[in-house]
Amino acid sequence: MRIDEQCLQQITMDVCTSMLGLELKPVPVDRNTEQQMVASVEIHGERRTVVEVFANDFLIANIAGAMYCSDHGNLSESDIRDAFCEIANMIGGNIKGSFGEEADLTLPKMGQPQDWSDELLDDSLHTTFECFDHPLSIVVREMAMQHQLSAAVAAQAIS
Amino acid sequence: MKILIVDDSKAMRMIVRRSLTQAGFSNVEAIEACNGAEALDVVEQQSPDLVLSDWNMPEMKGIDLLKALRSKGRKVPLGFITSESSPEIRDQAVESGASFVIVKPFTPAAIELALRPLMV
Repeated sequence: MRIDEQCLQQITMDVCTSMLGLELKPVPVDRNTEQQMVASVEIHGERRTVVEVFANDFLIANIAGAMYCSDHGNLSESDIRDAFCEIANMIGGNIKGSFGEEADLTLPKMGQPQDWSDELLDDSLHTTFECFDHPLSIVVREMAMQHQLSAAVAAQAIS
Repeated sequence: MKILIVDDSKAMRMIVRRSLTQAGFSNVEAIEACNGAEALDVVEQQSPDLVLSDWNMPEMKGIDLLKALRSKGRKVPLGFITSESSPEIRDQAVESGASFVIVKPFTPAAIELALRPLMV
């Protein structure tokens, strides 16, 4: 993994606390993705890096409220999704910058955690904060790029 | 002064608007576009004095917007506000004629520092 947990925590704090004024407190890693949504971006460079942000509906709505400076009751579902995706975009963009290599950042997307496969898991980093008394988790997974996998499969077949 | 804010995220457009006010630019008329292609049309129709653009957007990226504006002879100053913080992005932006690059997350102070020289 090309970043460490401290760097990931700092990036997340910069995005959520410095810019949005959210209070974050690091807590032990929360691996329970039940009733959570995930916003993600991918960094395509030497490797494929997936950056995922997990939160439940309550927390996502409150984060959106902070971003829009509005009671989240006044926000549409689309507004709330947009705000959560932008959090993933900012965290992913800063992680990409910390890699120091040429790479492409995909547009953010949002879905259920089960939409994301655990395919080809090489390496991962996981950190959790408490925000509005609910867990906010960030997971960074590095995977081989497709062409690297094809080469590995071919090499395995030959051997 | 009319400023065009270009970002595919409505939340981010809102944050940029708010930051302009917090940075003391109270006499600004902010208009919006949600991607580069839409921004091109808005520039043609409304002639903003400054464009603040995201980098990564569907339809047309910010860097392509900048190149398209320059190829049309449009000299409106354009600065990027982007989560893309790598040196090659900054170099590409400057080489293409961007006035500045502000990295997300940003503060109103960063907005003021970048925009103030363009306000004289």
